Amino acid sequence: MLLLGNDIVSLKHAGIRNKFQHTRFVDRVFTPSEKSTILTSSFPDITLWTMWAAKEAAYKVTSKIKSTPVFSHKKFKVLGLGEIDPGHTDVCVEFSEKNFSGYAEITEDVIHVVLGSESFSQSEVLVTTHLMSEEEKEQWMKQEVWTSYFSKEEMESIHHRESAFIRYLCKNKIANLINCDPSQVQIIRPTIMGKSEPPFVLIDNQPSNIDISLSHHESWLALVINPS
Amino acid sequence: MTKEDVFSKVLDILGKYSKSEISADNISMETSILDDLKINSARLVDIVLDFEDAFDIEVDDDDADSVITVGDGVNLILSKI
Repeated sequence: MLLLGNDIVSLKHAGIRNKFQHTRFVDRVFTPSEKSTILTSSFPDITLWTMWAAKEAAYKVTSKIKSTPVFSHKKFKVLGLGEIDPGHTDVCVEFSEKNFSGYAEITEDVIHVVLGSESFSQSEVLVTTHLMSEEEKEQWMKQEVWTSYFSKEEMESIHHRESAFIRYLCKNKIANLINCDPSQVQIIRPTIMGKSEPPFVLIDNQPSNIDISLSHHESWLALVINPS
Repeated sequence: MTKEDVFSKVLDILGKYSKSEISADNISMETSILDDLKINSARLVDIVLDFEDAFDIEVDDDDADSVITVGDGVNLILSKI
């Protein structure tokens, strides 16, 4: 079964800019080869954050295969990423002798990376990115809004408006895909020993084969669904 | 350095990166760094680097990965100073 991981990075966030000049950050997160690619790139920030998002996405896939491995960024090696321009770029990450392939969509505003446990075509998966509007931010600040859409079990993994709204979007996408009411869909993200496990989908309180990955950064939200 | 000293210094570091409106008075050892303080994973790397600088310690990836709550960070630092 194709398992997915995704990560989104908002390029307009102040903490993003000139990170390639933060030597200790770069040395901690990236291999010497990745560091060289970043520092010789015409767009070092975009290259750095594409690699970062690729490592995060690969970690999310790996967490679905083996229970929450230690996230050592350098052990997730981004392979063969050349010069990056805005647009579509193939991405591959190797971890523990397994490759995770997929792609990055890069615009002036945002980087979105999607990787899978096996090769996949974009037509196999449903991908959504969304920039929260000011109205949505205001509406989803209210916890009473959350409780109107989510079960008690779902609420346990919802901590702020972005995590609430991405689940709302995902439930509606899944309901649309399988032609049911969103209230029949639950997104559960258990916590074991304090660490969050990957989310999974229940339909009518029963486990499903629908695989999802959720991500948000600042006001940008992203989700990928493999409806199987 | 006492546990209270470390806790206070850790709060100063986290305050630089937190997006949460939670006040320092309401932060406890059980407060989740990612979920409650709305700190993203990239900033968590910055925080670990700040821990290393502020307390003159080294934090490897296994240790860094175990830091979920403020208390995890405080106890990790106390074990290394």
